[in-house]
Amino acid sequence: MIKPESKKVASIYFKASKALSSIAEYELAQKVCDRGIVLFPNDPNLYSLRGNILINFYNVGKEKQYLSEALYSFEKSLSLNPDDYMSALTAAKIYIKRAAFPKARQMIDILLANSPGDPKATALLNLIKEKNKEIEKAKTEKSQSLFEPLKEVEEQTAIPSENYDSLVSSLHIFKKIQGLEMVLLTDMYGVVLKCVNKSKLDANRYGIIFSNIFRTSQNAISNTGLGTFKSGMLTSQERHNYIVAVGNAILTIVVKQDVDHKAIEKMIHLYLSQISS
Amino acid sequence: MTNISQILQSLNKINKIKGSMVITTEGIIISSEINIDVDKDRLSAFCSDIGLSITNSLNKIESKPFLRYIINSDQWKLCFINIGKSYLIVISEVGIDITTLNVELYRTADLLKKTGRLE
Repeated sequence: MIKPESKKVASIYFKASKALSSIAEYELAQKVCDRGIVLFPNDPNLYSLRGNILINFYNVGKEKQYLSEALYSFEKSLSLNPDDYMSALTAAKIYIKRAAFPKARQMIDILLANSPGDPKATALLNLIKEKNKEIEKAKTEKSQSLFEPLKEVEEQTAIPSENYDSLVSSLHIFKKIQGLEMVLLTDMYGVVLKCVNKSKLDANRYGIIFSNIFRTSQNAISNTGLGTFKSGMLTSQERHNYIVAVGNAILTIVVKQDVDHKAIEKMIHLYLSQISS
Repeated sequence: MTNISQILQSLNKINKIKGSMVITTEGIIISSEINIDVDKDRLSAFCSDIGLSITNSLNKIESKPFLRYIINSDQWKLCFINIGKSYLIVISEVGIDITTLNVELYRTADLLKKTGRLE
């Protein structure tokens, strides 16, 4: 929880950054905002503002990395304040642009749950339905003219689907783990690509949760000069959760307590060797 | 032994452990014994960020708090141990023996709790 006096100081960084952004001093605005985030890492408004500043950067140069960073900031803001309307709306738009429709749909569901019938959320929902129809139509007819919009969609995807296929096909390695509850392969934003579920765990929810933890960890490791994030093991009172970076995807392995960690680590190593070969 | 700094110094004597610190869940440093070139304030802020992300995320699937989180980077291991209202953060070399590390982490967390200064 942020103490009231901390909030006051955090709001100074917010206001200063917003003022700089309003006069198009985006670089300075981002520096002030980043400094605010380092000092007040639990303030959702600073993350939301950072996302908007990065959108401005994207609008100038159309560099996709800004969209990815903006999306991370909006997700972070939402994890701290799930009622943040603007973050959810903008994140939904970015997901649609990236053709990550299930994730966009999740954002829209949040919006509609908070404000039923919201016209902007409804418009985005209709847009997703149209896009899905276009894709289905293209798949059925397989005509070149209809594939053109699909090519555009594929370009926006982080890595081509055939690369995901190789990651998915090697997942069988983990089925032998004693005490396995779930193996989950998701994209960077938690959209489930493949799931081996031996329990009643909610794969979609786990996907989103561990992609959030993954991105926060990745961000922390790179921003503190400690190298590049490779993997993590989160131990809760009920289970162990392995999080592994595999290209542009995330592998999550959920196991019960009292498992053979060395055996699991060997399997992860084997999996990484298989997909790299 | 009741001094937090002494407990951390003792932990740092273990082979391949390069530093340790205790921070509040908000990222304020309580005690720091880091022996590598890293911005401690920045590290504590980002560690608090990770802790918050895990806590918020796990609340959606489990009611109980997390116990620990070990991150492997290509250069270091970064370990988090949840000790209630604070975190024990440990940086070690990648090649550290994991059994030794686990034992030392639990032992140190226990000693820190017993100081009664982290309530």
